[in-house]
Amino acid sequence: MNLFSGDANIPLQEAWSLLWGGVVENTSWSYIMEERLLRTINAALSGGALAFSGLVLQSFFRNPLAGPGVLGVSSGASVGVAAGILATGFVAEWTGLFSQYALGAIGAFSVLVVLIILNKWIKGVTLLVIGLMISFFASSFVNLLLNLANDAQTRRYVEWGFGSFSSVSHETFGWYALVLIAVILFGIFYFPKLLNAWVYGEQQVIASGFSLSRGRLMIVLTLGILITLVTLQCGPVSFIGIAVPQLIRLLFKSVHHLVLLIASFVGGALIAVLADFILRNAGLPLPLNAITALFGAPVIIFVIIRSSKKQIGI
Amino acid sequence: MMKLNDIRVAIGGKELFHISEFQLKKGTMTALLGKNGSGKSTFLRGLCGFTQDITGNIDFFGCKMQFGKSFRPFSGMVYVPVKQPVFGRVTLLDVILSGRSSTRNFLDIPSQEEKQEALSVLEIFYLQEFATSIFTELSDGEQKMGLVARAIFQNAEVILLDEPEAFLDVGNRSRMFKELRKLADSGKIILLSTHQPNLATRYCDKVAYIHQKKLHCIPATECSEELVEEMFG
Repeated sequence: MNLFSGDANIPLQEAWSLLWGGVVENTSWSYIMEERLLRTINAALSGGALAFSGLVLQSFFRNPLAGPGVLGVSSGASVGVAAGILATGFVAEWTGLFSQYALGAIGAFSVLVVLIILNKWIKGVTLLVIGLMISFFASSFVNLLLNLANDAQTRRYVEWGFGSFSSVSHETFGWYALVLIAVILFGIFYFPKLLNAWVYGEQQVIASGFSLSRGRLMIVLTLGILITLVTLQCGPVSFIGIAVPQLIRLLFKSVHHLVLLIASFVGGALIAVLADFILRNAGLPLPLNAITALFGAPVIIFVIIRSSKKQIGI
Repeated sequence: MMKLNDIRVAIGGKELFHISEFQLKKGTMTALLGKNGSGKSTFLRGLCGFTQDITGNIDFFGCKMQFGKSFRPFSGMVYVPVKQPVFGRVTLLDVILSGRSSTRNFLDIPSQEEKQEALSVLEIFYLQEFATSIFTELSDGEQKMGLVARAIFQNAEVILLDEPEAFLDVGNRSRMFKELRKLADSGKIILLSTHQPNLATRYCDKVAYIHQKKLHCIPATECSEELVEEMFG
């Protein structure tokens, strides 16, 4: 659906044949189709990865309101992006891009590590509040950095902050997709037993034969890679990471994490593609985050009202 | 047989009690008595590697280990907490099945036989009708019986229980102790902490009590009312 809609009105049949490498009369169509295809794959993979990460965070922190955005992990990555964008004024393009990714990763990983260490003493809502404070801290740090930036750099950062699935670079996208798919596949195989145990607390993790520190390390590595990559590629996309896993938990009777992980990935992918579709057809220059918030915020409110205090444990 | 040697239970550097030697034989049921905060739970959790607040040596059916950072928990030992925190809409059956997750691969998919067995374990406490109920929506007592059922399902050699009588009504309390007695008689080792000396003397073989920071172990028949008064006095 996302493939076949857009300003250039390509006949469905021709579009279809293009996808399979066919030749059509208008050669510019082939370029447009490629753009749309990449954009759709990007939306699906990135949205899926965010929802996947959100599900893991919720089960790990045993908190239904956890998510990459709420806990400040995406904000950690955005400090790196701001610093990277700033650096592009002074160094070569590729160094700037590299430093963006490196600093973004450092930002996201350090927030994850801080949260996991704090989680030994601080649980539930208090941890979420700390995550929010980290977000505020990160954004004021970004503001400080942007003081040093020129107009063009500031605009680049602000546009990035709106979130978008469209900025796909042909050279790097293959790698991006490959790493996301590899990490998610690893997670789908490694996490079910670990997270099934984690919902009963750390004692059950030990009783299931895991080492706690190894389990935490695996979660930090996996989520750090996913959240950093998606945030740098698409901006701090809000609500998909927190609302989709909630919807999945509502829709599926099973609490087995093999089911939940796969369903969250697929659900996140669908919602992201749908959001992108709405965005492209709205006829207005809306930021992606406006669409995701429109869908996500009501879901979260519904979840909070629906869950009894006892059930969500906060 | 499980042997403990020179065990120290200490929280934050403050020693709670010391055990010079403690043996638990197959087919026996031992009650652990002591005041609130005397270190019973810490001791039981420490035996499973859930806390590093205990030091000393353990001989678990010939497998010798030292408590501390390098301690690896024994799969033949299971701990039943006073209360089990759960996140999400986990059913009672899910809880029971989680007892054997250490025997499954990373995908953690229970077999059909395991499910059947889990359901039959629930029958011990007449909980089969709650199999698909959400665990957190059950009463505290039903949850407690479910947790003991999980331990039975796990089929471990040693079962450690933290206040198995907690939250239970009078009828279920004696049923609980009778079932534990049956388990012991089938060759398991049972060690439970309790605040009910009368249940302990009635069903257990031995009573271990913490007094003046030492663990003393006596036959249950010798646990008189005067001694209990001295323990808690």
